[in-house]
Amino acid sequence: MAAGNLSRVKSLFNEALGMPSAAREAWLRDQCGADNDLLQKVIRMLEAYDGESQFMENASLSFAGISTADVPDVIGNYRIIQQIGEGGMGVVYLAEQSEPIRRRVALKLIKLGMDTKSVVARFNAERQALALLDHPNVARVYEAGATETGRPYFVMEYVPGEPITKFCDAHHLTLDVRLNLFVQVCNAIQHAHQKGIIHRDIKPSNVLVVRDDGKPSPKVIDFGVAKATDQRLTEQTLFTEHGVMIGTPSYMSPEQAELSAIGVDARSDVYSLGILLYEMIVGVLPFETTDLRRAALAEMQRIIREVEPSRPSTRFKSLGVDSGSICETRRVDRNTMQRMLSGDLDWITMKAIDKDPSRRYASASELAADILRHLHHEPVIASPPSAIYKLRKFARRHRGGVVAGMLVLITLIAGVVGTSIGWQRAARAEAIAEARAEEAKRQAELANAVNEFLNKELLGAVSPSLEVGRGRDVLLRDVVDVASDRIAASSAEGGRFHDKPVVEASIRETLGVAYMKLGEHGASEPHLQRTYDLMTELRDADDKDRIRAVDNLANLFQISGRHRDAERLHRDALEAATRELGSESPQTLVVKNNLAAVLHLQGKYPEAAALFAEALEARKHVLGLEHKDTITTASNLASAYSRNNQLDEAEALLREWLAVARRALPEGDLNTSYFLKNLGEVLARKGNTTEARKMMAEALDVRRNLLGEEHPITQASLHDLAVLSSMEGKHEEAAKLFQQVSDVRSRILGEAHADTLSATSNLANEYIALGRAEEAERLLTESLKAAGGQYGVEHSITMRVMYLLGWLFTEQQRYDEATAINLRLIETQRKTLGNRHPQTLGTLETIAKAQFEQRDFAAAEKNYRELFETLRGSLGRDNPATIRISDSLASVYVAQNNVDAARPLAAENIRIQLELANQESATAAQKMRCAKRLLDVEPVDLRDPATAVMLSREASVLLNHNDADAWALVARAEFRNGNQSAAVDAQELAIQHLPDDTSSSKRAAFEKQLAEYADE
Amino acid sequence: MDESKIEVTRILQAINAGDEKSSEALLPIVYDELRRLAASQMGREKPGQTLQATALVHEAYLRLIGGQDTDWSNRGHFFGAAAQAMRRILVENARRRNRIKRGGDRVRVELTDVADEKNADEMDFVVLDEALRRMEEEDPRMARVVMLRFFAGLSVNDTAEAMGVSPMTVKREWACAKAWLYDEMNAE
Repeated sequence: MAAGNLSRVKSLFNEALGMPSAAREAWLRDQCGADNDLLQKVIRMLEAYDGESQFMENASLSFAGISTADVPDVIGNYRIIQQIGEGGMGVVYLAEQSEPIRRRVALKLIKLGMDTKSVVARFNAERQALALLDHPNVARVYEAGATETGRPYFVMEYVPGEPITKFCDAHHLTLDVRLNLFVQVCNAIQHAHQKGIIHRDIKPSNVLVVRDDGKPSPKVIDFGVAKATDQRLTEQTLFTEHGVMIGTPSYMSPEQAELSAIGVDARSDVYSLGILLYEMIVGVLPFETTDLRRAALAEMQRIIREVEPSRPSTRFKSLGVDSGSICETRRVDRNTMQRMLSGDLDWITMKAIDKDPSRRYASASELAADILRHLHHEPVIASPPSAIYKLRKFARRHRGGVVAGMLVLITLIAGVVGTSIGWQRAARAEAIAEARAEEAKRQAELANAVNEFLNKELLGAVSPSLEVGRGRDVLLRDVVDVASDRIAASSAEGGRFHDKPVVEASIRETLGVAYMKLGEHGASEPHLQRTYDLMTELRDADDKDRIRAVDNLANLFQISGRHRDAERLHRDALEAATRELGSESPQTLVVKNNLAAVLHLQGKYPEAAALFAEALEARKHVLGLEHKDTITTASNLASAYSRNNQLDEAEALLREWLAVARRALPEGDLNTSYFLKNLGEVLARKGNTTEARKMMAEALDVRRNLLGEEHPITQASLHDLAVLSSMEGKHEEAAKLFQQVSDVRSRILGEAHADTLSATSNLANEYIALGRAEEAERLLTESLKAAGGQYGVEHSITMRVMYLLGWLFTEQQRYDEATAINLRLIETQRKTLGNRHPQTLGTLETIAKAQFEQRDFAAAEKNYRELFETLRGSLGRDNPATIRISDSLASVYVAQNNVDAARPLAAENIRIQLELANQESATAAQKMRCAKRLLDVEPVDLRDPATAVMLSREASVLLNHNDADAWALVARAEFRNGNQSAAVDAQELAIQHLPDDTSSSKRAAFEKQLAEYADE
Repeated sequence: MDESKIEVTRILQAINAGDEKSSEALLPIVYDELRRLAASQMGREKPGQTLQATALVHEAYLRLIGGQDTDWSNRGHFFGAAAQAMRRILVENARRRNRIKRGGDRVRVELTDVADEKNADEMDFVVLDEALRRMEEEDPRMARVVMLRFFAGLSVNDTAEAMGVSPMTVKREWACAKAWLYDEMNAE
């Protein structure tokens, strides 16, 4: 390096610059003397100055590669190992995650120019559903996030495989093997569809094949990515920077090719699967890709939308000599290939890629089923067999317009029937083959595939119609009836299912569940019962199938109100599962959880809690603390505690598990909001409304962010806050919130929807509290009409409205009307909910109260006694509800001058409440409740105003001396204790501390009370 | 974005109030902003395309200070920080790319990016950085001219105004600086 002393260099350089070039060197030599380094340096600088005029000129510089060459070390919590791919969307890295578990993942970094926030938001909107994906042929998607520079990324299971088309060719797979691989891909897509996820970007590079124990196994990657990145066919997404088309629109369905991209559903994926199938078997795509690649956007869309592709066999033929290598990689000669493609495979492929979505296979599993039929040499659906026509005509006879979904169902059932005909034929043809057992197994698998589709996809989709009216299910009913008749005939002696119990059980299960979802419990039972019997007898039935059979039957019993039968079944199942699978087997724990749930529904909370607690302990152990089932059981247990009024236990549990949820789930996860909500509820009931509000507000926040304002779940949170306001006595505020929720729900769900009616009836409830009885009555009468018409008298919302109306009448002392409605209500409740259900008991209490008011003491006594016995049995003697009822019962005795019967009840209540109120940890509410009792108890000789003064003052202290109700209670206690001036003082303080939004009627009542105390 | 803008304004006010230390606080904000801008522009550009670093600095200026009417001392502080930030970004970037080309410190697949093949007249920022460090030790004023002219892209007049010297001085320092740096960088 050159001589130092830059200032010397600088002055020499500057001066030399001012000279003519020729004179510079001599002058410099003179100046530098012996310092040759200095001389050389300045001379070189002068040369550079003259020669390198571009060096650092324009004060601008260029650099490349911040983005493309910028392989980051770390993205989010992932250490980048290497780049493994690059596509139109961005770059894919192999990365390593170290927390919470060490694993290798694929990290897809999306190129910039996309709105990161909405990409991540769209992904998060689907992450609940994505988390449910659990299939051996589906690569899991773990997370989406944004880098510091704002690029969105997705983290998913790392799949070290090859694109499926490449794999098939590289390994020279035959057509049959290819088809079997393809069926697995369909199953993976079907699984996602059942969870509500549409892939939207199925193509070979998203279907990778890995060797699993040496067996090729396809894995579909990139679920959720296409939707989150909102990929559409636009100029921008199709061409790379070099003007080369990235990816290809070849796999895109016509409806996706529209710029608006509405109406993209499962059938779009079926289309893409069809194209994939086309390429896998024929070796080329249906359209010349060069045609597509060269076409301008509009032309491309037109091709995808309008040009009819050639059938696989025709397309293959047109390749001529080019087809040599295609045949080679499929190990066939040209003629054989031609023959194999024409017929079934032509039909199946063309049906899958029909331009009209409604003419495609309705689902991936239907496509798979048809391919399996082809492989098993059975008639395929794609070439229309006459059975479909018959059934179609049948449907038309029964109803003029047949909706598309119904047609699909008919097609399916025809498929089941057609399939079974195929089996028979196959059975004859292979009479000598020893593969019969194998065949039976395949039949069962096939039936299962069809059934699963029928069950989950179709019937699952219509099941909400149970709640919005039954009109359009008439046809479905007819179809199921036909199928039901057929199965009955087929399983009789000599019928085709007679010796195929697995098939019969499987189809009957489907029909039974279908009837159950249609609300036809009577029609459902024989099927589910038969399934149960078959599964119990079958020695080689799968444990899971057997448990499901029990579960279905138990569920049927449960929803038809036969809780005891349901309980019995679950108990049997639990015993069997414990015996055969062990007490800690995951299935055993499922049964245990379900049994506890039935008990919970029956109001047998202590036993339910005990079982949930057992299941929870086991699941913690077996599945781990952070497994979703463990978390669910924890939530159930908390609910049982809460219903059983074990609020402390519920609170502790919820706090503990809220922490687990916060740790295990990503921030802002919906499940966390459930814990927040439930904890809020428990805290509210414990009187800690401040913290309750905090929890519920956080839950609301999470939901707003995740789901938006008008989402039903967000509205449910608003509803909770309304209930909280109501509990706090802020009825105006509560009414306002209920009104809001009711408005949104009317708009989104319709006025007669159960959830809308729930908000409306709660609004009515607030009106009752606000003394706006007329409005309340109007709302409730309208709601009752809507609910009764829409849902029938047995629906919970109808019962709720009836209950409120009964209560309103009771409040207004219109006892005859009240009792009329309540007697109707309790009849239904006893039937549907059982005698021990809290709601049944609530109605019974209202009835008893009305009878008491109407001085029908004998009837009131009978009802209160029933209530008392029931509650003492289920909740225990110390429970506040039991105490309240026993109090009322005591009052009835007193009214009948039976003081001797009343005294022990009342005395026991006082003992219990005093004990509670004098505990170290007693809350203000407990102290106040006890004080009130000591003032009002019957018989009167048990009253103790002095202790009431003490307790109410303690309560007031706990409430920081600023609670109006506490002060009013102090006043009343002082007054009854004979201390008039203290009463006046306290009542004045009570009035002072009334909140601003206190209703005028309450304020007036307080004033009147003051006057009364002052008057004496 | 808005928060950064508010923060920048706050820091500039502190500097004007005599808190010279605050100017250090400007660097990270400007650095982040520049990286973000560069990355987002790269995302829009074709691979292999180059970015005008100085254009980035000016965009950052508009984003962080924008239409606010600031006097020249403020702009000087800002561009000083921006130049520092841009220099750091370019050097880091060059180091990373050198590492990748050498095979890096761990197994990594070679990137087949055109932009990665060394461009003959592409500046080696790592070497420039080293030379500039020596200049800073010996002649801080000259180094500052380089910073403002080269890394922040200020014109001669603007540089002069920001430094409170005459345009002539800037021109002279700049001419010498370039020649000196060229020589230093090619001396090996």
